[in-house]
Amino acid sequence: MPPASPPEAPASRPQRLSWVAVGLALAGLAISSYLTIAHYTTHVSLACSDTGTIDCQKVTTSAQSMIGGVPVADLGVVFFAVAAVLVWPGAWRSRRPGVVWLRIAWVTAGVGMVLRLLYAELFEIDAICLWCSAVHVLTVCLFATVLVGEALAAEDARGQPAAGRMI
Amino acid sequence: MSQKKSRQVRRAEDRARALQPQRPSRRPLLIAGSAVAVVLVAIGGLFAVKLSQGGSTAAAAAAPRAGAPPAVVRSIATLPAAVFDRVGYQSDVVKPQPISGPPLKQDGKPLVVYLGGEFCPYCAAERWAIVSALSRFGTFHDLGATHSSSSDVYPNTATFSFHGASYASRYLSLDAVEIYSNTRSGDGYAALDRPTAREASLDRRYGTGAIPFVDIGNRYVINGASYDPGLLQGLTMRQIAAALRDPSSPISKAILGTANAVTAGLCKATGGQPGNVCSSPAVTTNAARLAS
Repeated sequence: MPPASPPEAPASRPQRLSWVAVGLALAGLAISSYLTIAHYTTHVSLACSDTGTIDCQKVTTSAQSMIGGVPVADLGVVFFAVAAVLVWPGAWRSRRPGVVWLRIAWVTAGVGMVLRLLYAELFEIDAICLWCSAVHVLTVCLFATVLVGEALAAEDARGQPAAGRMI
Repeated sequence: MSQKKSRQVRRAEDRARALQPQRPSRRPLLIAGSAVAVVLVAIGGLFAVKLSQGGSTAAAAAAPRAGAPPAVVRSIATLPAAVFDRVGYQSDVVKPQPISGPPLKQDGKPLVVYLGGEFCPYCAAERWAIVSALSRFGTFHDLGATHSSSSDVYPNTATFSFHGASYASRYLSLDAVEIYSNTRSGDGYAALDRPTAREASLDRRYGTGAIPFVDIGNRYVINGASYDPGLLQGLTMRQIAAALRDPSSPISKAILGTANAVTAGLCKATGGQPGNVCSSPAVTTNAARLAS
């Protein structure tokens, strides 16, 4: 008797999270692109306060707005573009360890960058950029979504019948 | 016989158990939740430390005595490139003079040094052009509002003060020093900011002993006002800022004409960066006529 096939998971919880992650990545990509355009165009002013604690100009023109000669906004575009590919349903379905760990490592690096930039805004530049903060929130949400998705996928895998897991 | 039967029953039970879904372990979800919690705690911690330090400490320490009206600062920072281009080259403003010193840099960027005094009417006039030009390369913060001495020529000329202000730019650094206030003290004016040894040395080497003195990365210097401060007589900062939006006004021609010449010098120091400013018609026209 052949081993039993695992039951077809109609739209598993992790799979639905894929679309949430894609939405977060695309929103991050849109805002990062806006910041990039503002970076390269002197008089495209960011729609943001430029006085007091909330001051996008002060942040985006600071020395900390470049890392190794590369504008942070550009890095944001690359981060979210790659993240969108990694969380796209096709890639999200893949349980290959290389893909899973790359996805986790990528969003973890993103969160690491968020913490570094937040530190710079609060303690080095002394101003907060609202657009950058939106990117930070999206990155943390993406991090949480990916981790929860991977955790649920791992749980689902453990929950499969033993024979099914052997396939 | 009964032992054999019980072995068969046990085997059947094992097989059935193997085919049963295993009870999912909550461990992966716990690990994921903990990782997210650590990140949120770290972010909360950064904000908590910041709040415990009392918010914007750096800005408070450097706050000027009277801040420039934000609308005026914003108006200059957002002057359309078309206005600068319409003003273009103005032959009657004094142009920055070329010098050939070692490249003057700070934080890896060309450094602009400004030495002036709040009492000085020529500095009052020149600051409008300096702020207009530098606002195309970066952002000023905490610019002050002041006026020249009420007992000197061109009395009470409304202007900015660099005392307590800061400037952020990817392309340039700025050291702006207001050596004196506009408050009388003995025969002169009360001291305000002390120039550093390097700033004083640059003034001795390339200056004429007069203020304002502006050194653009050791490529160009400005000694004195570039246009007649009398143009600004009796006007408030808001009125001057409003006049700058009209490229045909004498004030705009004087201030932005000077700013365009200064911008041409700044662009030579930055190697043509940013491209959209340095390749604009107003700047290229001025750059072509700037002695080098």
